[in-house]
This record gives sequence, C-alpha cells and structure tokens, in this order.
Amino acid sequence: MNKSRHRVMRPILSLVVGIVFFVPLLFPLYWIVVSSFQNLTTIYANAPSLLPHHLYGANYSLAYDSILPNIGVSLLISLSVVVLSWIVGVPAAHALARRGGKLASAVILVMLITQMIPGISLSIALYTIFHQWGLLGSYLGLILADASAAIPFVVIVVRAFMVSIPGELFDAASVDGAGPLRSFTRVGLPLAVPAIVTVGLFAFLGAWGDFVNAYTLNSGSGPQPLTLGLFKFATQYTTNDGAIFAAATLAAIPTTILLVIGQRWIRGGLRAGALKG
Amino acid sequence: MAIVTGTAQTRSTEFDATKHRTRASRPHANRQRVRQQLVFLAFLLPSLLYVALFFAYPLYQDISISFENYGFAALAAGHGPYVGFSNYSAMLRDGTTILAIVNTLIFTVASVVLQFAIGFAMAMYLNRRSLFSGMLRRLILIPWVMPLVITGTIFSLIFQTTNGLANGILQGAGLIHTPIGWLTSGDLAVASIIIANIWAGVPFNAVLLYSGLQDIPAEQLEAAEVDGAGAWQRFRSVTVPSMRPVILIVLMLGIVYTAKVFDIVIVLTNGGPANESQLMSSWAYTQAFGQFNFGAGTAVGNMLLVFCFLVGLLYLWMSKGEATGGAR
Repeated sequence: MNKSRHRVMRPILSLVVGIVFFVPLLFPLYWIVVSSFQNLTTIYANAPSLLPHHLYGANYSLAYDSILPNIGVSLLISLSVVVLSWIVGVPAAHALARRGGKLASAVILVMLITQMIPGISLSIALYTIFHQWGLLGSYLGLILADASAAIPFVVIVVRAFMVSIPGELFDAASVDGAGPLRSFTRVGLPLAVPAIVTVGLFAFLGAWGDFVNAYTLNSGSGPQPLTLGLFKFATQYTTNDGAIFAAATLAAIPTTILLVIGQRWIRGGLRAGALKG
Repeated sequence: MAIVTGTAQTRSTEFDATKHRTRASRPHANRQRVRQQLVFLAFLLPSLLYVALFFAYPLYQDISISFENYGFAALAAGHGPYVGFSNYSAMLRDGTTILAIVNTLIFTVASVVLQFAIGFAMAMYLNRRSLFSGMLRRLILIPWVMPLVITGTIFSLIFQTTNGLANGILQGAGLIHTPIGWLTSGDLAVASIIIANIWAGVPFNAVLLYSGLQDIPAEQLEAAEVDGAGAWQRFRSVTVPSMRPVILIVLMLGIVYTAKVFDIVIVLTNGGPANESQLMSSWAYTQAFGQFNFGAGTAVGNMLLVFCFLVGLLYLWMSKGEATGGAR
C-alpha cells in the first residue's frame, strides 16, 4: 500500500520540485523572447507581460541592423581563436602527455596558474602593451588576447586526454619507423579528436563571451564583437526597451544553437576539464 | 566565462608513458634521446612563447605600472615616473576601494554558497531519472553558454524600477505597493548583481555536481541501504565523501572565478549608484579607463590578483593532498 501511494506521489512531487527549480532558471529567457515581440506601449501597459498579445516585429528592425554585424565580427574572432589555440595548444599537450619529468610538471603548473589571473588585470596591462604595439582596436589584438585565455585550457585538457592513450600504440608506431612528428600526426592527433573538438568548442564559447578584452581593447574603435555591440546598444537605446529585448534575444540565439548541436561535447568537456584535468 | 581546469590526478600515468618508450640499440639511443628532447621542446615552444607574451609580460607590466604614475603621458612613453607604493596607499585610503573589497567578498561568498547549494539540490534532482529531469538536463546549459553580457542585459531589464519583471511580480503578488529601486540603491544594487551572477552560475555547479553524483558506484548506495541507512545517512556517509574532489573543485574554483567577475557589474550597474556597487574588478577598470590612472587601476587589480592566486594555490595544494590521500 505504501508502495502504490509512492507510485502516485513520486511523479507529482518530482514535477513540483522540478518546476520550483527550473522556472526561475528558464523564465527570464522566456520573458525576454516574449517581450521582444511586443509593442513598446503594450510592454509598458501590461508589465510584466507573460503572454504575447500579438506578434510585433518592429523591435527587431533596429536590433537586427545593429547586432547582425556584431555577430559576424564575433564569429570571425572566435573561429580564429579556436584555430590559433589548437595550433599552439595541441602539440604542447601531446609533448606533455608523452613526456613526464620536472619540466613537464612545471609547465602544467604554470598553465594552471594562468587560469587564476583576473581578466581585468590582464586587460589593463594588454591595453598599455597593445598601445605600444599598435594593436588596439584591431582584429589581431582581440584574437591574440582571447586566445591567451583558451590556450592553457587546451593544453591542460587535451594533455589529460592524451595521457590515457596507451603507450603501446606509440611504441608500435616507432617500431614501424615513425619519428616523433609522425607519431603525433598518425597516433596522438587522431585519437585525441574528441578532446580536441571539445576544447575547440570551449575556446569558441570563451572568445564568443569575452567582454573584458573587447571592452578595454576595442571599445573606442575597431571591430565590435557581439558582447560589446549589445552593451553599446543597450546603453544607446536606454529608453527603447523593446529594441533591447530584441537585441538580447538575437544575441542569445547563436550560443543556444551551438548548445543544441554540441550538447554532448560541452557536457563531456565540463567533466573532462573539471574532473580529469 | 567559467572554465574549470583541474587536479593533478593523472600525474602518475604520464610517467608510464615514458616507461613505454622503446629502447633501441644502445649507440642509437643517445642520438635518439637528443632528437626527442628537441622535438619535445619544439612542440612546447609556441605555447611557452604565448604564456611569456600574454601572461608573464602583462603580469610584469601590471606590477611595474602599479609603482608608477602612469597616465596619458606614460601611455605614450611606455613608462611613467616611479612613485613607490603611493598608488597602493592612495587606493587603500580611498573609501571606495574598501567598499569594493567588502563588496567583492560579499559578492563572492554569497554567490559561491548559494550557487553551490542550489546547484547541489538541482544535481540531486537531475540524478533521479524522470521524464522532466531528462528534459531539464538539456535546457540547463542554455544560461551557462550565454555570454554574461547578455545575462547582465536581461537582468538590467528584470530589475528596472518601472516596467521591470521583479517589481511586476512582487506588485502583482501584493508583496510590495511601491516599486523597489533595485539598481538605484547601493545595497540592492549589490544584491541584484549577486542574483544575476547566481542565475548564471547555478547550471555550471549543477552539471558538475551531477556528473559527480553519476560517478558514485550504485552498489555503494545499495549496500548502505541494505545496511539500513536512511536517505540522510546515505547522503552523509556515501554521497558527500565520494563527491569530495568534485565539491572541492566547484567551491575553490568557484571562488576564484567569482572574485574576478567583471561583465555583470559593468552591464548591470557600472559600479553605481555613486560607486556603491563597485567590485574590485570594476573599480580597477574605473581607475584605469575612467580616471586614466593606470597606476591606481593596476594596484587595485593586483590586490584582486593576489587574492585569486592565494585561493588558487590553496586549491592546488588541497587537491594534491586529495590525490595522494587516496580519495579515489
């Protein structure tokens, strides 16, 4: 009898608890999407509006023109960061995985320590440095700055993954006459593809979400990535809430799509980065 | 964005890899070792160069600027006159710096504790198989992958005094009669930043803790149940001990990553009203780019840096103990 009562109560209880947890988490997102399709006056008359009264697209015309170029800039920067951090990070990860010793441990420790440095400290220093180098307000400067956050992560996570590749595979390759370079391209690299894809996704998300570098290095002029663009848009149109709702919605779309596609990799990366690294 | 990198757990296996190295014929061995050493360095060099240029050099710059009078003129020249500790002492005499330090501590502790508590409860929920929890496992990462600037923008709309969602709900429920100025009073502005940050950070905590829960062998929990342990006892004597490494990561790195949060403050309050919601990160920015006083900005930034380093080193030290202590 106890059991049958459980059978009825459990799903209901589970649903209630689920709602309590997840409504606060997801409702704000629902709210901005719904509000973005409403007339300004409707938003103000019925605040907060929980159901769309009718679809009103005018908010988007302003946001669209402003945010879309920002998305293009962010795409270019983030993809460049992914490629750069692969090129720099993956060979290092391989070397560190194949070779132990004091130097390797020291390098890994340094990579870990870089993760502790506050972005604002790096950004202020980079501003003064890039001022000398003429890299302020440029694509290159922002790519270099964003990649510096990604590279240690790539090294640490890919190395942790490569360590689990059985040494026998490399031995077999070297018996077949493969040098260190070939054993990297033929054995290490292909077997580490899952980890490489995962860190690539994280490097992308990191660069895509960067604000502190963009705000300090490219605030005045030069390419405006999505984060900076949205911030400036919201500052410029403070009184036009409808346009800000639309801009925020547009800005949230790319990562949401990426999440749908890359769900499995991101989840795996969270585990790998945090638990195994 | 919070990206976690972790422990030294796999360190033991890396030595295995070197053991597996083939021992070719003796005369070859030496030359081969030199060659391998060179290739090893060649593989490593780009990343070391990167760290030198984009971490070591900026850190050096941060330290040297903080001892200089570094304004417009210095920016052009590349260095300013040496002023000793005066940037630090001037900043520490400034009431706003103290407030920013206090705010950062409150912000960090409140965010980490609440994110962890809510995240843990959520992870326990996700760990129970049900139709709903499966769906939520998919949706939960949406807030986490979103740039914090978007989160900040959403919450600046939520916390608007007029037409904001927060006041709308509270007024609709009859809990308040006049709208609350969430972002226009100092204490509430800090609270608003904390709430927005918790919202952004809970999914990360939940997902990590959930994967920790998944790693607990079911037999252990069953064995405890057979031994007559109740739900709370099972939680205390099986779940929490076997989750220790994950809990350590989530808390310690949570502190480091929260202390340096920048985006949300800037977007939500920009340190206002009247500098009352400044965090150390936003205050360092304000000094450097608002006042064009890079010396003061880096001085504040370095204080934050030291705090993050100390917590980070504590974490590395603790996780090392964890790995050798045989928790796994």
